[in-house]
Amino acid sequence: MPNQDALPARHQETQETLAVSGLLRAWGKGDLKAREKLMPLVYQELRHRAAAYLRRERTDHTLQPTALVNEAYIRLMGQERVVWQNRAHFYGIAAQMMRRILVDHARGHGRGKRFGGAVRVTLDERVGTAAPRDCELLLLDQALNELAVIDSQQAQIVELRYFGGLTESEVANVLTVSRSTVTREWLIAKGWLFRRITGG
Amino acid sequence: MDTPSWHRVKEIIEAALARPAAERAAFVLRACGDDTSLRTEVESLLAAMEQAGNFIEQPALELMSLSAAFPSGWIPDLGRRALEPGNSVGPYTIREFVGAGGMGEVYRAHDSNLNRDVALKVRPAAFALDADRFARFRREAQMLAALNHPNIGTIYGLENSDGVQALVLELVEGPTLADRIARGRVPVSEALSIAKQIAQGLEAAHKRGIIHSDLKPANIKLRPDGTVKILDFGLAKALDAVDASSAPSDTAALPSSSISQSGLIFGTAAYMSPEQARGEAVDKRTDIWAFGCVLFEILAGRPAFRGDAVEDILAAVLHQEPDWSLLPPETPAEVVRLLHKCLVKNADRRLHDIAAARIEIESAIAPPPITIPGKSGRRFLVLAGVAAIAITVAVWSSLRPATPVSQVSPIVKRLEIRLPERGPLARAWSMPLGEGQPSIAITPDGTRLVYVLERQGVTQLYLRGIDQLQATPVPQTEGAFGPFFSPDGKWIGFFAGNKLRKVAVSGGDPIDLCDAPNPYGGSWSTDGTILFAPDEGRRPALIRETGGIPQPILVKNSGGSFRQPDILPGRKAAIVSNPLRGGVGVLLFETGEFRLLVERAGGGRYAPSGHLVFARAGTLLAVPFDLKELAVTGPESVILEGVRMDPAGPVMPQSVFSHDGTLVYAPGAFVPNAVRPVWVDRQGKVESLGMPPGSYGNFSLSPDGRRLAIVIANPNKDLWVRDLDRGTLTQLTRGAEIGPSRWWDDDRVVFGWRANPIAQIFSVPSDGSGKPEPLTTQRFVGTSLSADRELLAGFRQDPVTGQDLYVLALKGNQPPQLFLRTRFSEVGPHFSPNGHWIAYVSDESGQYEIYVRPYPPVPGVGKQVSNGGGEHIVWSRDGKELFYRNAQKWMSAAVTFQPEFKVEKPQLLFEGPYVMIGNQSFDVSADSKRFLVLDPVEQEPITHLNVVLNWFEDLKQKTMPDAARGAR
Repeated sequence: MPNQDALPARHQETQETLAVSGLLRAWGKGDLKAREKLMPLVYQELRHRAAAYLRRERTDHTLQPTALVNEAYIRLMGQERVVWQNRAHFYGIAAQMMRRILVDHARGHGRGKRFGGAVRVTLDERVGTAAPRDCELLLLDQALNELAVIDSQQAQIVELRYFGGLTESEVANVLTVSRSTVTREWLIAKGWLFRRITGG
Repeated sequence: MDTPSWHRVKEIIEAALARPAAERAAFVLRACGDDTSLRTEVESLLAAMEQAGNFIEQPALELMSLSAAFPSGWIPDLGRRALEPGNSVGPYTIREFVGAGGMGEVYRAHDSNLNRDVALKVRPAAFALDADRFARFRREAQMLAALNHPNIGTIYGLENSDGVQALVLELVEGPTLADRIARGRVPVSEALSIAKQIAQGLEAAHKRGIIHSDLKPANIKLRPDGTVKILDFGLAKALDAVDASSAPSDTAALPSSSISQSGLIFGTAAYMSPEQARGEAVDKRTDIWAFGCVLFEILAGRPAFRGDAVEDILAAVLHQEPDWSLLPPETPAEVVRLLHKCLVKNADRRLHDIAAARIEIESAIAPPPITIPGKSGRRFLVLAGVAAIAITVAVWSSLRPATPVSQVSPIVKRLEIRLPERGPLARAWSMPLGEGQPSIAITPDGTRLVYVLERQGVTQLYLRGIDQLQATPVPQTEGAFGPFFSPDGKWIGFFAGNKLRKVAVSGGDPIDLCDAPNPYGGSWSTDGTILFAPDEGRRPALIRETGGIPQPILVKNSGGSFRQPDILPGRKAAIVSNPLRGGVGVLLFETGEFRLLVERAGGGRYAPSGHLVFARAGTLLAVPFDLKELAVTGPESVILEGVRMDPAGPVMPQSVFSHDGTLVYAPGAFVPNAVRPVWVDRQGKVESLGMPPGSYGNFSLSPDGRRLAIVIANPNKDLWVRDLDRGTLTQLTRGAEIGPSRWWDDDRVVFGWRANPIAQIFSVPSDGSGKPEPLTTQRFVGTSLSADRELLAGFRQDPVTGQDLYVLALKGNQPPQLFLRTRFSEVGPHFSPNGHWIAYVSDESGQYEIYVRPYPPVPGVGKQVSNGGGEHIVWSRDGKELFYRNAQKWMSAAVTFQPEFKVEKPQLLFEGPYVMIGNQSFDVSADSKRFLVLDPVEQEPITHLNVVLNWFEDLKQKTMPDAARGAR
């Protein structure tokens, strides 16, 4: 319901807080339906926050996705203490949501650049357009979808790091793999995406 | 041909990575054996991994925010910059980042040997040349450096030191030709003067046998004194020659590297000659082609060869003629002929000598301009179009019921409609971070109006006859948005509950037509179909007005968002807004083709006066539009300023017009991201400072509390002082990029200046009576002054440890001393009023919290102040309280220093949606009773609409060519 989006999120607070922690717990116990239900709540909250950041808030240091996700987390979870496992789940969702938000944002802003097919982007072309990063973000999003087909774990690592803003050790925690695996897979994924986008 | 298995590729790459770099190539060869496709893939991926460098290392949101913060300038790439202000490369000191291009990043730098500023073009580390290639490139560059002409940017030399390879170039001030073209129409006389100078530069180079091979508007600079300078002469070719000729010849060569390197160098498809596009050898005729492209673009305001993607542009270069009709009618005939000669696809038949072009242009400049012969013919077509429309209008007029309004003679009249105060016009949203939806519709005959009002967060349609005083709610339309009328004005189409619905004007229940998730507008055609744009416009579809199954329009070159459709008479095409494809264009139903008509525009709608009306940043504009050819036939004209648009989507206007020329719009200024400073007291009570909404940033209150130093971005971030008693505003800096500021005393303000000449701390008299003077020669921007004015605390970025805290002694010219370095980010240090403590923000717990440590530092001593998040610190003047922000909560923590440092549990001061712009848009009054913050100006509710009758008269008047208007 698009026009609901016009409602300031602060009007809809309390039930959500309860819902989110319950859902996170249920999901932690393996209830996958809980995850589905969690998505829109997290999405809405993050979107609200991302919008605030991107529209007006221009601080020089707090524009970090982790801070944003943290704020969203705190607001959604209220004062409840949560075990790390839940937090990890949350970051996983959040990264995915941030990706959607930012890609949608870029779509709204991108101009004059097709992102389907094998588009060869040269540095000059990118710098020349009015919103190069929007285009890059869309290209990256698409390339990431392609990477997910051949290597879903690598795609997940990129999602968590690039869109979720997580550090390597946080990624390792979320995916319950070793940090060196994250480092290695990240390097390969980065090269793969770079090659895909620059058309080499 | 078969694709190697990913598993195998990864296995070999992982094993290769485990080996020393020098052994990898040999290992890959061994491991792949004679499986060439496997080897190619592994080598290509390894090469890409090496080249990727800092690609996507910085999280997306940070980059997006950076770009939003600096909308007009260059936007950072996916990687980080190579150099920071203050860094040295040989004798050059980096002053500021200028931009980036195909050959790397460009910085303004100071040459300490010759005491002059130069431009340094730094080659990305990933593409650094090895010693051999660098030597060869140096020879090429020396040849280019010999080229000395007033219209060519000089190459001074090459620098290879401190691990950086850079070209040293003449620093040319002023915008590029590309900037100039983007700003608006270049008058023909100015265009010819620019072209003449470009031709002169090319001529001088060609005489020495040097060709540019990458001439384009972005490579041409316009100095403020009118001199035109061509930049990067011959560099593309020189670099490419060096790169290509030295590709390693052994089998371990990385096949992708040289290819993508030249791909990175050559990049500007729109100005490539056909022979260049085919990858053939190039000579000076390639420059003549590019010259033709540039001249065409200066005159026409848009590139000669266009396309949505690189391959489309190349196809246009190879196979299509430029649209000659885009040239302004006053283009001299010999210039049109010259352009034809420059843009011949076959190089053999193209103009061979740029001198000939220069002579043609000179002779065109000398006599009074002669208009081209084809012009009167075009004028006739426009007239014919107007005549056809006049007939259509007559038909419409005969259909419309007689109302007092319709009797008005064609004199433009303006009136106002008041909306109920408690139910302002709704600004429904569709996109996640998105743009508002239009909330007004008018019947084609201009007799009825429907608008969407919002009460307590719920929208509803309201219907009003233009002759009535009251609007009446349309029952059962709660949640509606994006309304549009049927051609006969008897039905309203709208969206609600993820459905497309219609409701009769005469009453009755709304009828569901079909599902329409995330819609972006609809248009009802006279043949009984509705074009609508669900899924945020990505899948435009047609549906019968009676319902049924929507027929999607198969869009060619998918990718795009086809919003706010307006079906054109003839019903074969619609005007649509397509931000993803650059602006407003026309979508052809049969072929699915989308043609861009006007760039950076939205809200496009066809006006029966023969115009395409569209919006851009708070302004309605129009261009003459040929309905038969579906093409724009003249220049843009501004019709009406001050139309409400959402700041997030500066192209979607709240305006509609009927076929008889009644315009209804929501008036209002377009202020992107507006905020206003307000006082908030401890009870949360808000009091305005009386400052208008604007783009405010960092601020600080004077010690006496009577004045406010504040950064206003308009468009530079300059420092101003507001006298809070008298309400006056004094500008202290001009053309600057000012960071946080502090008051030295009541008479001087200290601030960090990021741009020109370098990041440094200055001080300036607060009454505007003097110029800024540097406080210290150290390049350091602090956020906090100690009470004794001896120390400045701030943070610096370290590539390994992130942000660390430093303290600079303002006397003694010593570099800043490290105060705190951890692997976490520490930012925003603030001296306590007694100077013995520094409060700062750190993310060591995983989120930002406030901490306090003694100054000078005592290892292991420190306290966490906030709990559950905190940032943006302000001390009370008496040092007894620390104020900070935690998301939308503004907190206070009482602190005591004696006998030992102690922090009480933080208390909530007030809550509110106040925002931080810069790091320092939060301050406290001298008595600690109230707080200054920035209040986002939730856009003013739209409480009235303006109506303009016979608006097309205004439209016609304003779109008339100057001559016909009889103005001169």
